[in-house]
Amino acid sequence: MTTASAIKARSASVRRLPPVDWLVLLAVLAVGGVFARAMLFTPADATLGAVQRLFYVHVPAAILGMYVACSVMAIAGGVYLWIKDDRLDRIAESAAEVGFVFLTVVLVTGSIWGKASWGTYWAWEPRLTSALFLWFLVLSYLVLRDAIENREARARLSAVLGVLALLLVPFIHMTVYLFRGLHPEPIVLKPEKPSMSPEMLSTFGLAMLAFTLLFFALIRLRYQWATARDARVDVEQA
Amino acid sequence: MRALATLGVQDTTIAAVDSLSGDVAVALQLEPTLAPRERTGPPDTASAMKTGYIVASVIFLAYIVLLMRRVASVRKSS
Repeated sequence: MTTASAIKARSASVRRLPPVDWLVLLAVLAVGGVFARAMLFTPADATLGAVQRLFYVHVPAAILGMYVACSVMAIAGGVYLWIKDDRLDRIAESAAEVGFVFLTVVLVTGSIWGKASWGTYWAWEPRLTSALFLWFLVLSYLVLRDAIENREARARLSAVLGVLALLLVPFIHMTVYLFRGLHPEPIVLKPEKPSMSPEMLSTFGLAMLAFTLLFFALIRLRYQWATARDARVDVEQA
Repeated sequence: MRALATLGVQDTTIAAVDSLSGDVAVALQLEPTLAPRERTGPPDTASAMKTGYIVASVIFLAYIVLLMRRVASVRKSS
């Protein structure tokens, strides 16, 4: 049961929402700077040519969209099932939506890279297919949330789906080791040190920082919006 | 014919080639030829790179605009 003081406090948070989010603006500038560095000042790959520079978008988006966003979605959802705190549900839904955007970027940049290096935009091979399944799972999470009006039921059911979606992530990671496919094995996320030149590695490090900033800035803004939306609903129902 | 054997061609194939006339047998010998378009260095994939960066930027910016519009809508209605 939401108390009157809590509704009042959340209504105040709506009014505090800034017209321009400085953290998102900073993150966009950082990502823009990384794009310029990657395209203009980082050496191209000797075998694949310039298209290999999509690595600096594709891989950070994959790490954040697949590993980080799905973990946040599942952990926040799982803890929600335990302590029933609405804030955890809002964190989970924010991570899911931002993660969905990052996963979309992963699939699109991967397709463009695939066309240039494999000669096809898409192949039904294990890594690509399982990543597409995850994309559909997160999409179904968001559609499910939209379809349920009762807040408690929405949070509970989507938390279960979020936890189940996370189970697919280790499988996706292992597909390149378990099955024979087109997708290469990890360059960065592996037990040995990354197999890249120092110039490429420094650009990748900066890309990871910039995309991490963008990821959390977007989650923060999405969370603030979700808080404001729930506050408005509470005020309307009070 | 010995050259074919060293290239791993099977005996039955060598025998078939052996039975042909001299001109055809010469034409069938597996001599290396240059590819029609000999390339040096990596392929030119700059347009694919630019397309990838542009599409990724459009997706991120579209989502940021969507979020900004949602926030503006909630602020206006409060």
